[in-house]
Amino acid sequence: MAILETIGVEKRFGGLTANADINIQIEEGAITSIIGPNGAGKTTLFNILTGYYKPDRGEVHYLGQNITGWPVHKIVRKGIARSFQVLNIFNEIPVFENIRLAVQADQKKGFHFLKSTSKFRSINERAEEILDEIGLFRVKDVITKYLSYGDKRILEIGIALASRPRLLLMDEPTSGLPSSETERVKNFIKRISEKMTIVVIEHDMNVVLTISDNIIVLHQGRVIAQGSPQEIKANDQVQEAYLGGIV
Amino acid sequence: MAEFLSQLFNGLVLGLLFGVMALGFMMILGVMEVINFAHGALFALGAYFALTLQKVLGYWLALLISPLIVGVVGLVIEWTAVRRVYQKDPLFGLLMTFGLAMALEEVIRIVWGKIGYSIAAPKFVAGPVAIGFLWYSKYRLFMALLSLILLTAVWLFLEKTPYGAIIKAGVSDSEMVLALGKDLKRLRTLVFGFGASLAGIAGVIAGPMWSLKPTMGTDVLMPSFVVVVIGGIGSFWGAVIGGLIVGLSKSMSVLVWPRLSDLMMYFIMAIVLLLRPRGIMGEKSLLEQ
Amino acid sequence: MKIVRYMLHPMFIIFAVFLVAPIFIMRVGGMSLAIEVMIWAIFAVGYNILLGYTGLPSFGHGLFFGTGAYLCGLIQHHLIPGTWISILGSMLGCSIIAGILGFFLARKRGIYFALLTIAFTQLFFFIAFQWDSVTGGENGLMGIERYPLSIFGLFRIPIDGVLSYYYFVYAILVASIVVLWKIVHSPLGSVLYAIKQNEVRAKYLGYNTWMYKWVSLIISGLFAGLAGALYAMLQHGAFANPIHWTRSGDVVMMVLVGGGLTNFFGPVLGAAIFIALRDIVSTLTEHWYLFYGLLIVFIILFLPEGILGYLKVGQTSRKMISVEEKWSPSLSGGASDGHP
Repeated sequence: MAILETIGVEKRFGGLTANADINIQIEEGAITSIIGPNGAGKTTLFNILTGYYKPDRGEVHYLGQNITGWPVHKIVRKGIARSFQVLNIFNEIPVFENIRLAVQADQKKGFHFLKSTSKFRSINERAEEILDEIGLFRVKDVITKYLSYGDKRILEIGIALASRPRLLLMDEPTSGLPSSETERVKNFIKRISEKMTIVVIEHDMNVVLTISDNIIVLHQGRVIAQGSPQEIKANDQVQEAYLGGIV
Repeated sequence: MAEFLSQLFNGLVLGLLFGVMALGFMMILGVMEVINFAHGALFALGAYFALTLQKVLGYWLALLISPLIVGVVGLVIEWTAVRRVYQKDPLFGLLMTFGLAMALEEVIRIVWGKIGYSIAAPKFVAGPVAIGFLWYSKYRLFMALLSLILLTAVWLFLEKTPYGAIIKAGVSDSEMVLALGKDLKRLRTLVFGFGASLAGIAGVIAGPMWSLKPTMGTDVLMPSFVVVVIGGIGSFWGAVIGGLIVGLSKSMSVLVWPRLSDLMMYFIMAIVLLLRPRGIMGEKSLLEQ
Repeated sequence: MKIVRYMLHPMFIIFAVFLVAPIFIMRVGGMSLAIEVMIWAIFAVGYNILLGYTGLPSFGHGLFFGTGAYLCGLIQHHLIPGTWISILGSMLGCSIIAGILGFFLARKRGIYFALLTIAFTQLFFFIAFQWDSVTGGENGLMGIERYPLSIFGLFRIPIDGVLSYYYFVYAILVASIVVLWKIVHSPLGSVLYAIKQNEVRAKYLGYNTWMYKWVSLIISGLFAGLAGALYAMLQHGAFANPIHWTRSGDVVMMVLVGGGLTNFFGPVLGAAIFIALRDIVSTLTEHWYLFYGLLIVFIILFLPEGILGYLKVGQTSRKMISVEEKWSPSLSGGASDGHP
């Protein structure tokens, strides 16, 4: 069953068509990769799926419900979370606070205003659990901007996980990482995929081909192919447009 | 009927002048992301310089030189103070020009005194002229003409020169200007000077219509703000249309209920914001982020 | 040692200083100035929730201060002559106005937000100035009283004397600071500061950031209204002047001079310095505004972190309090906007 589905989604910026006639189905429980050259409209698609942009045309359906035009926070609360390609974390506060804020949102405690945050035990315990799971417990009191780049990337994903998503969209989670760290993130994705559906935008073909159940190829704002890794590898059009000599 | 027409003309004349003020203000806002509180004080300086220069040099030279001096004042302000707050918290630029506005107004008070002056209109445009059955001030028509010339000049500058293209890019998206690298510094200084002299010349033009007093700058600053909000940041025609709306709302409401005259533009602003949050001609700009 | 730690807490120091200050001030005069400092401190600390913690640069908060003063008088004149009722009414009225303006403001950020707040404060100024049948126009709304406090109808405490009013305002200052301190360290406060650092990410955590910014406006409006009402009672009148945009800089400067947006208690120090300076300079020269303008430029160029930031007071004392104190708003936080 498709957890997420788009019907004829289109988005334009001035004269530029970022997404055109996107019809995709994301299968529940699977890992789907979205690949394509720079400027193919991958991040724009994520922005549409999460409500950051409203599509000019078309609809987005999640669990059978039309969520087109919903605000970001409402979509997030429905169980879609997202990590970003360009690091998008709270830099001025400790690592723990980053996760705690996410758990606090998940537990809908944000409007409590007279009790200290330290007194919300279930939030703090859950935040520590998550830090433990993602292996950042040792740096929990460090102000986030002083974290190593690799740890920041993990934190980026950890924040998304804290909202207990049913569907997790990851925008280039290995971007800028050395190969040893890439391996760490890859295994991490594999591990969390047991609990949720994952869609990942990724450039590293080694990662894409080993973790994906399905692959969607975007080119100039359109879907030019979708299928299993084998099918994609065998697809001439994809070879020509994108994969070139890589595979 | 005559009163209606005369207020209509007053509104249009005022509107064109506000348009000129607002354009200078908007360029500075767009390229520097600084709300220039000193814009009103520069307007007042223009009028006061003209007052002094006119006695020695006559009207035409004063009209020409006084805005140039104001432009230089603008350059100095940019060079010594405003330049240091680019890229910092937007609050700093705002406070900086706010402080400068306070200081400049007090300087005017020290140099020219607290009392008001009235400037006589130059002889060739003194007195009224008959338009149909309506007698209308020649000087106000002259003001409208000058404002139109200025607006045309700004339009030509924005549309026909390479600097104009860059400024327009900056007004809607200052990151595009950032791509220009080292030229940005010069561009900003230039825009600040240009915007300042626009304010200065508006002050010279307005002098004979209003009496000169130290607070004339603070009085004229708010209409510029409102024009920009109504018209939309980054649009030449937005500033012109916004200027006319504010000018007309000020003059026409006098006919209905004089007390409303200062308030009307804010109500219009609130309505425009409800219907079009970015103003009539506004597009999404980085300033909102 | 715990007691020593509490005694070095800035909150304790502030409360202690204002508690004993009248002993000294009574001798040299200037009690009403001291009361004014406390009133502006309430205003400034509340305003900093919006400016320093949520990162929304309002440049028109005189609107709420001035309106609070008028509401206090109007309630006394037309509804019930009582101290509590006029204060609470001002707070309620100002938070409602903040809520209404919030519909226009809360979707905006940065410069555009500032521009709109300036325009709105000017709108209110003209309303206050022109509507003289209600506000007294140019002459102000006079005859605002300090009625005796009634506690459960059992005691009546007069506050019309300068010393009694001082301690009345002092009690409200203490309560306000405690409440605002709690807000800053609550879940709500943590979300506001998250919005300042990275609004997009806050949305992606599932926070309805619009609503939080709206609430932040209401909180700051409410405390501004409270301060305005106290000010009206101090002056026995309400005037349009504090609403004019040329006065907008006052509260911003108090925040900045004290702790440069980085410090919860900075605005208290800022209020004291600002008002003392204005009083001293105004007696020496009639050109206070020249001095004021140049002072602003000086502070921004050379002391953007404020006095406490310059002396590094904030940092050291914060460490002594608790771990959660390690984070407190800073300017650079506003710079990192996450755009996907």
